[in-house]
Amino acid sequence: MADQVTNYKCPACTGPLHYSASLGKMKCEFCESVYEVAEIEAMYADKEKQAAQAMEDTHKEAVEQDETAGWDVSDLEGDWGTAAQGMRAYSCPSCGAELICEETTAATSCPYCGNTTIVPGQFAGALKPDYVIPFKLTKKDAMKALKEHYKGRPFLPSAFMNENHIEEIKGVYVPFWMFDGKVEGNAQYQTTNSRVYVSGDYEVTETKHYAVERAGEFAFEKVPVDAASKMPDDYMDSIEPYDYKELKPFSSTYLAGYLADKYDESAEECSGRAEDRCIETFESALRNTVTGYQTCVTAGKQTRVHRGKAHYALLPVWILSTNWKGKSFLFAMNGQTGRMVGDLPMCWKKFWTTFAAIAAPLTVVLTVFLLL
Amino acid sequence: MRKKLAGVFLLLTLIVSLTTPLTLQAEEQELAYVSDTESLLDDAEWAELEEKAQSVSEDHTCGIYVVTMYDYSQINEEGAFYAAADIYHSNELGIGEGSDGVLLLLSMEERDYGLYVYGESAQEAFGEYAQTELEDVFLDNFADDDWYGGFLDYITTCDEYLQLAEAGTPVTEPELGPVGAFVTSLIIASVISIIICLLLLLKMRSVKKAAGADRYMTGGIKLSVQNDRYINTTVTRRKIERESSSSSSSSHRSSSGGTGRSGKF
Repeated sequence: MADQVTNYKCPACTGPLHYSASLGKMKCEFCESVYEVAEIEAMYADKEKQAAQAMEDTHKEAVEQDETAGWDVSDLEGDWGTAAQGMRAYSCPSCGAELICEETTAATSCPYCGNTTIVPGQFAGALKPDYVIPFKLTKKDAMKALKEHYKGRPFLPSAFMNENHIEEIKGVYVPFWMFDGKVEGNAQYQTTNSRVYVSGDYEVTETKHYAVERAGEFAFEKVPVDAASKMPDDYMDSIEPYDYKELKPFSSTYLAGYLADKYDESAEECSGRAEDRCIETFESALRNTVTGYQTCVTAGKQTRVHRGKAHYALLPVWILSTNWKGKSFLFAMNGQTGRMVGDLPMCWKKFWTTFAAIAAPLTVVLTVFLLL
Repeated sequence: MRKKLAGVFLLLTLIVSLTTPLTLQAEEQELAYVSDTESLLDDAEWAELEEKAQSVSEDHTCGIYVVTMYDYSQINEEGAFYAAADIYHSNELGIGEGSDGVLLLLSMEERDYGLYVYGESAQEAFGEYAQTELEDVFLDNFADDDWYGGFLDYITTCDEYLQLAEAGTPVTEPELGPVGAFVTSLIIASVISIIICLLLLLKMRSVKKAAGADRYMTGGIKLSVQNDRYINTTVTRRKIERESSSSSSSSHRSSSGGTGRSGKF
């Protein structure tokens, strides 16, 4: 019987293959052989199909088979409760260990042998992403970027930088919806131009009032909205933009060596955020076409969004997490551009020291100035 | 009746002085301290104020004068202060070697006033701060058309200020003092510091939701309607005050060395 999961092995030594962000190719950890992504794709095409099929079969079997032959398992509790909801079990093709994953997991690594494991069934059929942007930056780059992120933050606790160790750093392909479409609408503005002149003993202000109307449209392409409920939206917004020139047709071989999730928020659920952003930009762009006036007040506006295509893509994100005094801190780095974001802990002692360092000499200078 | 005659005499003297060579001017002039050509005071009020002004003036060797007229621009178009200065010097007002004195001019046409202070001793008693304080004393009365009360307050306050100056403690702006200066500085410095610290605090936050989608626009906005329609024109007028400050008062210095203030009441 075929495994539900697969992992890519080196054709030369059968060692595990990872996608190398720096090389843009598949690389063997043991013999350091390097392969083109297309080569491995072709080699594993059949195996992935079998794995996807096996996953579907397992679902059916699980429904039909609910007893264990030979052994008395009457004491076993069949109900796993809420803990089991949303979990899946797979068998590692390398060492046979049981892998317990979330049901959205599409790529992970085996905790026993460390081999990368892909769950092709997660991206089969209609669930197959349209695009993927491969990782361009490595774990080392992410660590370096985090250190840079700490620089120039005056109120960052020194101990946080010196003593704190990143608890977890993982490269994740985050599922994104990318929306195409068009916004059209119109707006009415009340504008004025004034001139002031002196006539005799009077200052005269002459104000000309205008009614201004604008209507128009613009097209938008691939507005990204993250489709994983566990990924904070503000973090994913903050690491934008991605360079879409490097979008590639999806292939699960890019996932080797990284974690990946399939979406758990539908395009319909996510489209609202993309539409809000586009409307905001449209209204602002329309307003910017009203020029040559000293004042401009919006009197009314109507906007419509024409929905186009929704693309499904996996985008690379390095997630770094740490704990500091019992509080979790999360950092995210764009795996393609290196843009790092993450709120930092505050050292209030430093804050008030800085405050005093500015206020004290300023007080002395001002006091002397006032007494002179 | 006497007050009017005194006022008419003063104005005639002024007009004559502006048109006649100095050598032809009378050497001795007996002018009233209160010249009310606009009849703002009745005879009894005028007599009382005249006596009080004379008494204060003689006690301190510093003339305290009040002049009311219809339009100061008949004397000097530059403003009430300059008209007051012209009246003062044309009538050779002032007492003592330094011709010290203070003149309050009310011009009733547009409710302007001018306060003119001349002479070293007078300037010492009525410095810039004292002039501002003195102004506050009579302006509230004049705003209520309480002419007698305003003039009385003016003369009484002049008396007080002259006494203080003679005692060596002229009315001057209260000094902040070391404690006051420190507290003021501390408040200003704290506000500046907290603003700087809050700006630095923003650097600790780098996560925020995206509001727009500018970078995902393709080809920019295409306008289908671009209509700008003229509706109407509105005009508002505001009278320009002849003084440098319209509703509030302002300070001045004349070419003859006198200082003072002017404004509306």
